[in-house]
Amino acid sequence: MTEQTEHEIDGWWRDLTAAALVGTARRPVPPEPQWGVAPRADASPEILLLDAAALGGAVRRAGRRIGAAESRPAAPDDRLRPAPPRAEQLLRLVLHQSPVGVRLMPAVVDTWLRAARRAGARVPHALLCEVLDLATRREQLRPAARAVIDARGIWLAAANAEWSWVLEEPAEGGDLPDDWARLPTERRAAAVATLRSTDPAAGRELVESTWPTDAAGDRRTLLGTLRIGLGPDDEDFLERALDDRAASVRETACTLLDGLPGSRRARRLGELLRPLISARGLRRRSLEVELPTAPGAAAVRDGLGRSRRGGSERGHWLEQLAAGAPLEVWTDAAAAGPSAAYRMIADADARRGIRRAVVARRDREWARAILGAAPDPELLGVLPQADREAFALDQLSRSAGLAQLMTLVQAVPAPWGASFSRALVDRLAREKDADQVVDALLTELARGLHPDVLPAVRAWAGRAGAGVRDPAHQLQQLLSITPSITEAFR
Amino acid sequence: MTRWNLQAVEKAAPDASSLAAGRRLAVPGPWSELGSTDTLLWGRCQGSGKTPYQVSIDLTGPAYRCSCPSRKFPCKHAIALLLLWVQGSGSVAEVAEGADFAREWAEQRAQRAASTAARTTTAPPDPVARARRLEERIALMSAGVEELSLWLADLVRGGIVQARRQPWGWWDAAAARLVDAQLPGLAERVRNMGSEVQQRDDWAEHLLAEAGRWWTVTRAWQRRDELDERSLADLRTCVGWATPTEEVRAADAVADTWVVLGAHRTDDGRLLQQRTWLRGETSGEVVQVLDFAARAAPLPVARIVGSVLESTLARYPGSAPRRALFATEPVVVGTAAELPPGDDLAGAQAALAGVWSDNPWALRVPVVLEDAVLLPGPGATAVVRDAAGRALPLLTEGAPWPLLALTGGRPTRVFGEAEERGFRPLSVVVGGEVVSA
Repeated sequence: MTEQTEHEIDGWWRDLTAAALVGTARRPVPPEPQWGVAPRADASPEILLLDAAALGGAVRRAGRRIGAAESRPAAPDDRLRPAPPRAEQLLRLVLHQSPVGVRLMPAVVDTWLRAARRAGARVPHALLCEVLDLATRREQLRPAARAVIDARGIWLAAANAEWSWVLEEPAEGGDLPDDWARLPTERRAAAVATLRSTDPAAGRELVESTWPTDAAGDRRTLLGTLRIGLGPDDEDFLERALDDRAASVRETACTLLDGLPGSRRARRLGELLRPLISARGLRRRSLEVELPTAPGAAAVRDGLGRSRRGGSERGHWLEQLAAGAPLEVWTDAAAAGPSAAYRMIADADARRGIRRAVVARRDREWARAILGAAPDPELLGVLPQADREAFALDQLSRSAGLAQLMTLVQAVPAPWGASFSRALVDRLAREKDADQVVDALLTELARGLHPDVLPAVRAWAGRAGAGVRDPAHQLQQLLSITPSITEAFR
Repeated sequence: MTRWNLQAVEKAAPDASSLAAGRRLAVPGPWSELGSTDTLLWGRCQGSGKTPYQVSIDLTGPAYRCSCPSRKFPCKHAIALLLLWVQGSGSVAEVAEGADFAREWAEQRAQRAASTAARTTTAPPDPVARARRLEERIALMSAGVEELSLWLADLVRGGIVQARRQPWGWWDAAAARLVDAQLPGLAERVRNMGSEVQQRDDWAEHLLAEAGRWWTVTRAWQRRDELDERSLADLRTCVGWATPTEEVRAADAVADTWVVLGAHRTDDGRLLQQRTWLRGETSGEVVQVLDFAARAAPLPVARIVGSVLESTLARYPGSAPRRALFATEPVVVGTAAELPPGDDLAGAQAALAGVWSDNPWALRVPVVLEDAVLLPGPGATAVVRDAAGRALPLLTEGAPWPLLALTGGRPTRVFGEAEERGFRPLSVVVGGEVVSA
C-alpha cells in the first residue's frame, strides 16, 4: 500500500467505526475506497456496513506497518566464569526442591552464593530471576547476590523496578545532611549516631548545637546517641546534663556517666561507696556492704533518687553507687583481683550494680571475672569475639536454662567451633521440650553449627520427638549439603 | 539417549500440584527396586495402599506407567522417579537389564504401536442413519448461522456502542445459543469478545473488525457448497465442527522426521489445550498437533522441545498451518541443536498476511525470527526487535524476565507464534541447544 492509500483507508475506517458506533439507523455507511471490490447490489445498510467491516478489517490487518522501536544496549559480557554444571544442578535443587525446608533454604542459597564468589563463578542465567526474587524478599542475601549476578544480572535489574536494590549502593557513612537541624528527631539521631563512630567530637557538637531549644524527649534521644563512641571528652557535656530540667535526661546522663570511670561523678560516687565496704570474716574472706543512708543533694544529683522499681530504696541507692563508682573500690577493699573480689561480695544489689558498670565500661577483665561465676550472655557480648566461644562452652556445661541458652547462642558469633557446636547439639538433644527453642534458633543453628557435628545431628534427628524431628532433619540436610556445594565449585 | 535434566522434568509435569507432590516423594525413603537402563526407568514406591506402586518410564516416548489410581500422566510417582534419576545421586542405579515388570511393559508398548499402525478400520455404521444425522446437524447449524446474521445486523443497526453497555450475560446468552446450534468455535469468539470489549482501549475498532469476520463466516456458510475442500475445512475449524480422527487418518499420511519446534499450553478455565509445532525435515512443512483435556483430566505427554521424532502424521484438511495428529507413536531419534533459519518481522507480517489471505479466520502463524532481540519495554512488558529496527510486543504468560535473562538483549534465533497483537516466543537457542521459552 502506498502511504497515500494507507492514509485514505485509515480515514475511511475511522468514519466507518463512527457510523457503526451510532448505528446505521442514524448514520449512513461511508462510501468505500476504490479497491476493486464492488459493493453488494441492493444491500441493506446493515449488510453494506458488515461487508465493509469484513473487507476493511482484512486489508488493515494484513497491510499494517510494524512500528519501529529504539534499540537498547544488550547486556555486557559476563566477567565471571560460569558455575560448574554440578554447582548449577545443586542451586536448582535447592531453589526448587529444597532438601532443607523452606526456612533454611535462603541460608543454603547464601552459602552457594558465597562459595560462587570465592570460586570466581557467576549465577547461571536460567536461575538469575529466581535468585534476584529471593534476594528481594530476603535482604540478608543481597550483598552475596550482588557479587555474583555479574553483568547479565545488573542489566536485568536495571529494567525491573523490583530489583532496583541491585544498583543502589549500600548506605555508606555518607555526608551529614546540610539541614540537619531541621530534620525530624529520629533522623537527626540516626545521623549523629553514624557520625559518632567516625568523629565523636563532631557528633557531640551537633547535639550541643540544638540543645537549648530541643524538647525534653528530643534531648533524651539525642543524648542517648552519645553511647556510641563514648569517651572522656564527653564528660563535661554529660556533667552539665545532670542539671537538666527533665528527669529522663538526667537519668540518661547518669547511665552514660556509668561508663566513664574517670569522671568526676565516678569519683564522687566512689567516695560515697568506699566507707560502706568493709572486709569481714576470720581471714577477711568476705566483703560486707552497708546500705547507704539518706543521700545528700549532690548524691541525688548523681543518681541516687527515687527507685522506679518497688523494693528497698536503699538497695537501689547501693546499686546506683556500685554502677557509677570506679571498680577499683572493690579490688582495693578486697586487696585482690576482680575475680576474687567479686566472689567476696554477697550483696545482690551491689552485684547488680557492678554488672551494670562492667557492661557500660566494657571492662573485659571484670567481665571474665563475673562470667567465671555464673552464666551471663550480656556480659559475653563484652568480651572480644575470639573469647566468647570458650566462655560460652563453659557456660553451656553449667546447664544454662533454655531461655538463657537463646541469648547465649545469639551472643556467640557464627560460625562456631566444633566443641561448642557439639556441646550445643548434645544439650538440645537431652532437652525434652526443646521445640520452641530449636524453632527460634533455627537460623542461628544453620549459620553456626560446625560441619563436624553432622553425625551428632544425624543421631539427634533419628531419636528426636515429633516437634524437633523436622528441624533436626533439616539441619542434618544442611550440614550435608554445605560441603557438597564447596566441592561442586572445585 | 540424552539424559534429562531438572528443567525437562519440570516441563513434563502435567500441572504444578503434581510437580509439588512429586518433589515431596523424591526421597529414597518410600522407594525400592530402583533402577535404570538407557531407555527405561523403574521403581516401586510405597504409597498409602498396602502394596507399593510399580512405576515404569519408557524414555523413548516418553511414556509413563504406574499402578496408582491417578489418571494423570506422568503421575506424582513417575515425577518423583524422574527427579530421583535426574539428581544423579546414585539412588537410581544403572543396570544392564530392566526389571521384569518394566521390560514387559516396554515390549508391550512397542507391539501395540506396531499393531495400531496396521489396524484396519471397523465397518462403517449404517449409512442411511448417518446421512440423516448429518442433515439434522447441518440444519441446526444453518439455523444458528442465520440467527447470528440477524444478530449482527441488529448490532450494527442499533449501534455497537450499545454492546459496551451490555452485561456479561448478554454475551454469554449469545454464545450459549451458538453452542446449542453446534457452533462452539463461534461461541468461543463471542464469549471472548464480551471481555475484550470492556478491557481494550480500541474496543470499537476491534469489535467492528471481528464482527466483519463473523459476518464472513455466515456468508461462507451459506455458500459452503461452492467452497473448495480447503476453505470448507477452514470454515469447519472456525465454527468448531471437528473432523473425526478416523477420517483424518484415512485421508492423509506423511512419514518424516519431525523436529519439535515449540509448544504452548493454555488454560481458559474450562479446557486445557496443548499446541505442539512440528517441522518435517524433508518437506519443511510446519504443522501443529493439538491436544485437549477437560479441566481435571490429564493432557497427553508433552513432547520435549528440540527433540527429533520419527513418525507418520495425518494432517487435517485446511490451509496452512495445518493441524495434524500422530498416526504412529513417535520415536525419539535425536535432539536438534539448532532452529531452522528464519526471517525478520517484515517476513513474519508477510507470513501472517499470507495465512489470512487463504483463511480469514486463522489466529496465528508459526515463524522463526532471525537475529531477534528481546528487550524490556515499559512497565513489565517486553518487545521483540529485529535487525531492521521494527518491533512487536511480546505476548508472554506472566513476566518476561526469565526469557530476558536467558537472551540478555543479544540477537538470537527465536521460534514463536505471530498474531495480530504481537509475537509469542516459544523456543530460543541458548548455549547450543534449543530451550523452551
